[in-house]
Amino acid sequence: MRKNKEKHVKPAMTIQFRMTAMSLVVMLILLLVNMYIYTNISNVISDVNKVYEKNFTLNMMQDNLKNIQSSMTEYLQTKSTDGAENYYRYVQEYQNNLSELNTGIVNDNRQLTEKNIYNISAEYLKLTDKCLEYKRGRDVERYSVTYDETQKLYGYLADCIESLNNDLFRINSSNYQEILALLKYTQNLSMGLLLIATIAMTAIIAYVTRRMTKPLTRLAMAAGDVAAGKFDTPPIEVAAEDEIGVVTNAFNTMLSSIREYIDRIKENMEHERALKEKELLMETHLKEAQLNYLQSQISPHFLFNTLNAGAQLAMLESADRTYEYIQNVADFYRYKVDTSKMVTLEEELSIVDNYMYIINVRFSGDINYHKEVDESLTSVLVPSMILQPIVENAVRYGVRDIDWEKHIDISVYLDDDNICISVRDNGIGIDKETIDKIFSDSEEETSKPDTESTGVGLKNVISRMRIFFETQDVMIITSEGKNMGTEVALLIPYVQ
Amino acid sequence: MLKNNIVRIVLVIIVLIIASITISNLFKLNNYKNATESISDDDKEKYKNHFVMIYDSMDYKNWEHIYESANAYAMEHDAYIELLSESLPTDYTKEEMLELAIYADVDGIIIEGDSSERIKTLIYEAENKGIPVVTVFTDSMGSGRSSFVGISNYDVGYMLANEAIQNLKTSSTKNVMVLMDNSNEYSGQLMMYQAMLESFMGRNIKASEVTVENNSEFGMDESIRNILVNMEKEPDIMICLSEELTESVYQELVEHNKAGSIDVMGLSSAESSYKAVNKGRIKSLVSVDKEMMGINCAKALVEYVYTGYVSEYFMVDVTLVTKENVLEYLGNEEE
Repeated sequence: MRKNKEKHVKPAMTIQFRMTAMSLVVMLILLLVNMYIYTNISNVISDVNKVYEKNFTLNMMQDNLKNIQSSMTEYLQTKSTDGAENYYRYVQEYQNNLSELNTGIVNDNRQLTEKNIYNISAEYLKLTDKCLEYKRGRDVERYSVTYDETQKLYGYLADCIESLNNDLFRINSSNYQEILALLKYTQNLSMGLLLIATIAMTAIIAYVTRRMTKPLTRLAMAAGDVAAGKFDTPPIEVAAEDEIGVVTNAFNTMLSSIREYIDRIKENMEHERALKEKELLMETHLKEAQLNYLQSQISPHFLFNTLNAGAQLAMLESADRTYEYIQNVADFYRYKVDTSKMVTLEEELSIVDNYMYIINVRFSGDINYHKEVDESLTSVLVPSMILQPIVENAVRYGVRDIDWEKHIDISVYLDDDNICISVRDNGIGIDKETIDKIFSDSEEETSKPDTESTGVGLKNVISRMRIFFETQDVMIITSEGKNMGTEVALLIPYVQ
Repeated sequence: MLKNNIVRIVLVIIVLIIASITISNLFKLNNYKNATESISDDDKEKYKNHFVMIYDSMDYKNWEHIYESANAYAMEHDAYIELLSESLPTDYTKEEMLELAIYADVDGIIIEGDSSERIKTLIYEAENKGIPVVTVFTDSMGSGRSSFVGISNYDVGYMLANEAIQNLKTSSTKNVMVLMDNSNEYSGQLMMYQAMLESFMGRNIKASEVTVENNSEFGMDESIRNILVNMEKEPDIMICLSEELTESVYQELVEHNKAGSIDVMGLSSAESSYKAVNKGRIKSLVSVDKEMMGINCAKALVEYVYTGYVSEYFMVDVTLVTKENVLEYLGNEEE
């Protein structure tokens, strides 16, 4: 749990960030497009308004000029206050109009006309002022002359303004048509632009959303597979380092862990099964050994008790050798009966001693039994009844029927990593085929007891040792030829 | 992967479409602005002085060349010449235009002068107000104008008379009809006629003067037609002392199928007249260098504005155009 917490990775680019960025981009593009369209239309509309602006000013000027002339005439005729007031008001308005005219010298006749109008107007207003002044001064002759002059200038000005107005109107009308066409074009273009932008934005949103949801769908499908027990689902490719990427990574890790656990469990089960199999096999072999023994002996307990009784009787009768013999036989069978699965090497050697005593008594003591043991190695645990069958074989097939002096030597020593228990006889020897046969059939033929043996054969020993020590090299049989004797060496892995 | 690429390509195409539409729209708007800004106030050349050119509005063709060369010269010297007749209603007279120019307080006036008292008074008034006036073609003597740009009428008279004498090398007496119009240039034409009479003196040439009425717009053609129809004996040579006359007489002769039977001489710088010379239908022409005339007009005003004084006369060259050299002029006209 803690590990999971530590492993929690913050995505490089979160879905929240991507969604926000995408929305911002979409909104920004649409905003820009709208702003562009708005600015265009606004400019065009502004141009439409501007087109007749000058005409409007010139119309105002015409009206004001007319009003100046009429109000001045009215004042000259009646000397009315209204006439004077109107005159000054219209003069003011007219001057305001004049301020909008061009006064510079440029290479355009219309603008030069504006300049001319401006200058003539200044002259005209000067004369009208004078006219009023002369009227106030009751200078009839001068105001009459000046009035005539203003009439002339009024005519010039009216003509100039009208001419300019018509000229501008003609041009502006053409411009107006052009602007209207442009406005229509801009409207169509804006609609088209907006439409394209909307399609583009929809495509972008669809694309980005698809990119975001596709890994989620894949993840869901993979999870479904896993839920259905398909653990061999391949890991999902991480499309982006976002939340889904993190979940995908976690899913992949989980899938890998599940597979690992399953493999481990399988391995453990296999191991356990092998162990159990081994145990069962061991047990089977032991049982077989015991069965063979029991089959060969009618009643070991009865025999054992009987032998004990015999030994006590021999002791009462002071027959020491008989006592010793019976005691050895009793010990031998006790070992056979009571021995557990695991015994020390020392116990195995002891039972061999008992056996050799019995055999020597039986065969008149003509087998020279010699033992050379490294005592430090005798405490090692071995399966029971692995040494006695070998010695028994040496007696039965090696030295029993020979004419020369019989020897059986046992030696225990350390050879590299193994404890070597060597049983050597100087009997008739054994050929290679027989040795190979012993090793190849060791597992198969363990269940075939030899009726003359004490019950446990070589093959049985090999099988049990192989199982117990988990190694194939447990026994070496060597014979240098016919009548050259045989050496059987048991190899026990040495653990310090 | 392929799908992703297709989506990317589609997106790029859409972006390109938007960009191209935007750019084309910008171009369209820009073109529109260029078109409409031609009437706006911002991008005009500015000048220091404002001159006006005034002439009889009916005589535009004759003045077109003069105006163009005069304005070109003026613009080079920080001045602009306004053709006043273009800014005003057509029924404005020369006097009215002159008066208006004075009220408009322009910096200089170029005007086709005449001997009328009203014009003289107005020129005097303008000069008094500090506005220099340059008369052109015809002078207004005694008006106080700053300068006069024109041709030497005596020289033109002698030139035409000598040409006539060259063409009439016979022992019998020959008739020469000299046509004048009663326009502003009448006094100048009289001078030319005077020079001719002096040249013909002692030769077998009988010169007669006929004045063509030119009081209305279409009056001249009618007058010439009447003369041609009613004359008792066809003259050997007809000499026209104004450009308008030369043009009209030639056209009437063509119409009456008399082109070629009567030798026509006169003043003209028109393309059609040069073509007629080339075809042999007009004998010879005295051509006024109108480009120089225009330049001199502007030059006189510029000089006066900058220095305060100017030469009273600027004489303009005249050339005799005959079949021998007419191709040069035709070439120039075409250029």
